[in-house]
Amino acid sequence: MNINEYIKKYEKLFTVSPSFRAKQLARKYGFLDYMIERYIHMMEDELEDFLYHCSVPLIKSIRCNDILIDCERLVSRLENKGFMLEKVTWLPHGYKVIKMPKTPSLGATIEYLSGYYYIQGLASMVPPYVLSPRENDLVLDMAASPGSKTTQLSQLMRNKGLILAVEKSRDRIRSLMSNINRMKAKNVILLRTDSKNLVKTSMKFSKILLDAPCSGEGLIPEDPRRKTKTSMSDLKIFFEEQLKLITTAYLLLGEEGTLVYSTCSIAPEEDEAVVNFAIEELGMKTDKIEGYPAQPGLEEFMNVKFSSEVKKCIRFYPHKSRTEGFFVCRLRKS
Amino acid sequence: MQAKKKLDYKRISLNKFLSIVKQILVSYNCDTEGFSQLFRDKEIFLFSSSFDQIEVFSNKNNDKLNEILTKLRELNLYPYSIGEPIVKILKGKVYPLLPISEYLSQVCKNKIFLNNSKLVEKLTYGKSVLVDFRDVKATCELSDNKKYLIYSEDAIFIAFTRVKMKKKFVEIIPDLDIGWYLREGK
Repeated sequence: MNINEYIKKYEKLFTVSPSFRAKQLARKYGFLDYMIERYIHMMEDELEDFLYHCSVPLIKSIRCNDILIDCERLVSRLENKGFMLEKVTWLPHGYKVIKMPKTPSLGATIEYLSGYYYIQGLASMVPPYVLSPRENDLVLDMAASPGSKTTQLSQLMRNKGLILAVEKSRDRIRSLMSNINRMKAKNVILLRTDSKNLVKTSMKFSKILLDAPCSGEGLIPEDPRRKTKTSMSDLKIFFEEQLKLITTAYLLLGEEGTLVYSTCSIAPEEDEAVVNFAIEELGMKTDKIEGYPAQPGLEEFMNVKFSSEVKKCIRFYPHKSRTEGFFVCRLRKS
Repeated sequence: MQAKKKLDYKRISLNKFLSIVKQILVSYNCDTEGFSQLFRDKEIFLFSSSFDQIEVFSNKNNDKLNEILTKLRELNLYPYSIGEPIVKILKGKVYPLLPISEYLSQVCKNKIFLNNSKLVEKLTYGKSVLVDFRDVKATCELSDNKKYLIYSEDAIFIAFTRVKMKKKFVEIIPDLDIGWYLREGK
């Protein structure tokens, strides 16, 4: 089945009729009607808890760059400046910033400018750990800007091996380059192109990270404008692009290679529906992800059933994990 | 590298690289032999476009690097960068880029350490500062209009600068400071 046929098969996902309850809640919390209708199906009893937490700003968090500084020393340096940090037990390099001074801001300290840390959402740190690159891996980062995950991959590889970081947008590549240099990542080739162009070669990668461009529906606590930003037809456009990208990732992955697919969206249309395509149409397998305070992938959504393999993926929700909404899945080509 | 014209790149030898950065090494009073040792295990690339830039990749003889570059070239795709950008060459003049500071720090003598964090902060906004001689700890004698690497009291690199000697003060004028990451990278 090709991508167009697959989209047709799952057309039902994109025909949502908001109920009266959905419309009421949409007005109360400032969301689009169709979004709430979907949340009713996803959250059930937890719906209002979820909607409430979408309006609570998240605690800032940082990833310590232990290539450049011992993390305890970083904590001590920042505490001397009036910050208070709390180690996140489930992330090797993650810290919550529970108190900040008036000045300097978190993004203007000497330590930040020297690449000792990256300001990064907690759930956003998970995909590189799940990919777990080794020092001799050849890694492809398919949509690399602004560089949080590229630089984290480089850190995990101790600046060895090689990362091909691809970014399509001319505007976004500038911040990517800046972050790569600030964090002193030395094993990165940066390429401005559409990742899909790479399938014209015989290139094969042992590990691929596809942190796909998405609606950002998981970032509502950080950016309330997203409550009304994405229409159902926008979501369908993202879905189609994500299907193309995951197909590209499959083609570029070596045998027995690992692909991590992630989005900063909690929309099943951008998450399980895309992974389901990789399972059912590309023959990929998922690996269970453990060790994170996250929920399993949704096997069913809006009366549409996905492969039971998607349960091995993980979802982060603001009201449960106290993180941005996020989706992570590890797939194998076998 | 930022460029509007089409990019191209080629590998260059260590000697060619040293000849290009020679003026920087002289300006900051560096040990050329020590500097060259730091690059012996690296692949060095000269990127050309509307200006030239030298970039280095950490592992020489990296098969994966060669394979990727060859395959990209077959598609007529040219990397935006390979590893770390080290210097920029514009109209024949060579300018250090921030990643080279890590290497210069190890082999150069023209260093100034500032124990005043407010002045350090001001430098990261790209602004000149006037420093009382008592607040300056230099690893060599200060001379007017010479280039110096500036560090915080605890040896974090802050800026490439030149200094002007005043009666009681030293004026430190940043050429490029780490605040660039904040100003240009967003």
